Amino acid sequence: MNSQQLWQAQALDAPRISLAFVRQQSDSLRRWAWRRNAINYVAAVAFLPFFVWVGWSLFSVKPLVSLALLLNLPGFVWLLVRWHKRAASQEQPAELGVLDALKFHRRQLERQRDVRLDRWRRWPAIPGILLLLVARAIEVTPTPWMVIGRSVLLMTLILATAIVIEERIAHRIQKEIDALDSL
Amino acid sequence: MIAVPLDIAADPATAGQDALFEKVAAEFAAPLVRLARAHEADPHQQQDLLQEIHIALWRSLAAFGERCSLRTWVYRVAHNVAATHVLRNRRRQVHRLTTLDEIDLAGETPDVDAELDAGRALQKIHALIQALKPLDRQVIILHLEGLPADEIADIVGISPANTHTKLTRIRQLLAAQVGAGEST
Repeated sequence: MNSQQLWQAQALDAPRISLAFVRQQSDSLRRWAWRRNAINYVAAVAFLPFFVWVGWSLFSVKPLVSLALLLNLPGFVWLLVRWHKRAASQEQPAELGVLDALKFHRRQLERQRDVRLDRWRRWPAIPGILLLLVARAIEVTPTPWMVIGRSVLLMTLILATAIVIEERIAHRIQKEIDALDSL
Repeated sequence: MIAVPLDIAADPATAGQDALFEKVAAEFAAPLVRLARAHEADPHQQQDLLQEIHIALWRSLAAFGERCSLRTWVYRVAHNVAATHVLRNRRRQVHRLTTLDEIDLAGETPDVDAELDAGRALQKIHALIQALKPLDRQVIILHLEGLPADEIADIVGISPANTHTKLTRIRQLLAAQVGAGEST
């Protein structure tokens, strides 16, 4: 008996997987992915009407503050669209050969890494934030320097934390890519 | 059969896909179990991988346009899932994966009793497969399933020449590991 005959004559005791089970699993996986995406996008988009409402209600009292808030909107939308284009996971085509499937997986990891290393993607949010600080200095009397100072500190802290976290994630992804290359 | 908590009514929209899946599940049941077993030693992990393969197959059959044979399609999808599975679970792998060329053929002493002891020979084959990197692993499994070199090249996505080189090496390794009876 050669190795092929030996291999094909193996005793098999695994239960057969039914169509109903496969369909149920497939449906629940699809529902789970849809729900996860929906939560992500709804949570992100929920900020937009809030910004519009606050900006609109402040317009007659503090036009510069309201302008700053509205200026944040396009920046925020830009960030969302860019993230969706560059980091959203893509489904692997079923007909790929094994080698191409591995290459596809590597490209996905590279996309995820690169988007996290792109620090400049946040720049569209900067003008709105700066204008908000300037508007508070001009339109609020007496000028709340302490509040402005704390805001600057808080924003710097948030930005720095986001950069550190994303660089760590990028580093972890790079390790995955290295491990993939070693295979 | 695996118990299903929900009874999902047949969907006319996927009737063709369902029928094809039933055919695939019946026709390729044994090779798919062997594939899962070749990648995973743990029975629970084998079952998870087998389920993953079946789900991927059912989904993929919606796009099957007879661009290739059903067998090539099934093996391509199944081996893709298995290769991705190896990547995902490599943290669990304590041993370093190797290539066909890195295995020292001279160090392998032909086991004269192996032919008589099918269980031991199979163990050796499984150990060899699980030591290999994903591509080489796919090639050896497809060879053991009896697929011709051209179809293996098509499924794995490497050139026929490269496949032939790998197959020559695989036959040598199997002959050295399993002993007499291996055609080279």
